[in-house]
Amino acid sequence: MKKQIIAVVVTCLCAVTHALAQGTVNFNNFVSGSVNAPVTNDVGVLANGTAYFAELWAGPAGSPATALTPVGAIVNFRTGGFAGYVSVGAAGGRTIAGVAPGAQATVQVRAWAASSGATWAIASTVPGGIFGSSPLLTLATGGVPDPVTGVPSLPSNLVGLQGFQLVPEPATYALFGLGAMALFLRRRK
Amino acid sequence: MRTKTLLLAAVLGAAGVATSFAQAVYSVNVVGYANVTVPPGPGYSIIANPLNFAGNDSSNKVSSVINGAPAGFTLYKFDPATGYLINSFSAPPGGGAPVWDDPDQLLKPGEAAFAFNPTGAALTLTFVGEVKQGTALTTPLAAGLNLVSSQVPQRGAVQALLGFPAADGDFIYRFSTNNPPWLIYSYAAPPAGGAPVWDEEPIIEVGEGFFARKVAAGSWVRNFSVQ
Repeated sequence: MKKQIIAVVVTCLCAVTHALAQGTVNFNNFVSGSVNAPVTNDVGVLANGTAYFAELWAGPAGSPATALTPVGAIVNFRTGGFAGYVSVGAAGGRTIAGVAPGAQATVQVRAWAASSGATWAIASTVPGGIFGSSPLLTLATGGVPDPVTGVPSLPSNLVGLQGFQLVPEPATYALFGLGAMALFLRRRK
Repeated sequence: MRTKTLLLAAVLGAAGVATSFAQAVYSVNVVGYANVTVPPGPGYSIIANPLNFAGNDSSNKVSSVINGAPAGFTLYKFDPATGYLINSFSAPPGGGAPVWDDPDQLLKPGEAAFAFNPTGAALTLTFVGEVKQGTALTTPLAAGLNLVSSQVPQRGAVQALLGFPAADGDFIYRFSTNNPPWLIYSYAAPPAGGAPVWDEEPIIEVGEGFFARKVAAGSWVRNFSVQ
């Protein structure tokens, strides 16, 4: 009888945990032995220190890039031998709203030059903005409560994440193109 | 987890000497080291820092207290409100000595963390520092899950010796290398009425952390002195 009551209590606790819990991932583009996806700037140099920002975007599996939302704080990059990798310290754990623990999520790392703006929205639209994003990655999240104890599983590492290079905002290319065309037409006259 | 604690006998002797001269009040610090064995991996265990590194909580930085860890070793502390804090000890991809993601993260006596051993060999982590003593060694406990350890480096029954404040409906979960990994201990009153009891009171090793699921928030307060 006592064991039955305990089982019911544990089941209820787990159910509560399930109801409140969300899938979790480890926002880190370098995890020894499993993740190595450096970010380089627009001239191919590893993104370094406070000159660059990075942010994790995520959504339910299958979401297009336009449907992803930011998850957690914007961070800078590490320096020295770890240049190119996000500086999250011990705070890389990210909880993805709308994704149940253990369910698949689609994630993307987005990065931009700090000189282009304080947020992705600004950097990716401002003329001359330098920014980039990783290919979409779909993976199983962590945070799954153990069926008996309710202890959540560890956040999933972004295994399969690919590195990427920042590029100038496309409008900048368009402006260059317009300028070149104007120059060409002027010369013909 | 097999642990071995060796306190410096000379210092313990000094403590004895100090107490024999009862003319004055002495502060008796007991320092030593504790070897905590992490099972072969790749895999996880729950470890704790059993000693106060430089005599104060803020000195217990992972970069100070964790010695002998290989590259790829990772700690996962658990915050009841926000979840896991992930701190890896990694070497730069281009070569160089491993460093912590957050070298200043604290691992204080009373706290605990999942430890990932990336190697196939058992690891021996040697913790050094003072034995915590005092009348109010306090570890806060939230309602729900807490990843904690004894602030005092003692092996023993979690409540009878270590003073854990068990309440009716609480659970303790120890992590093992078995499958399934969890050892579950329940503290509950009989359905027919009566005082709560353990189904089996857990014995906690030195340097071992465990999950405590508390029905209500509270504090684990310990009074301890090496006398």
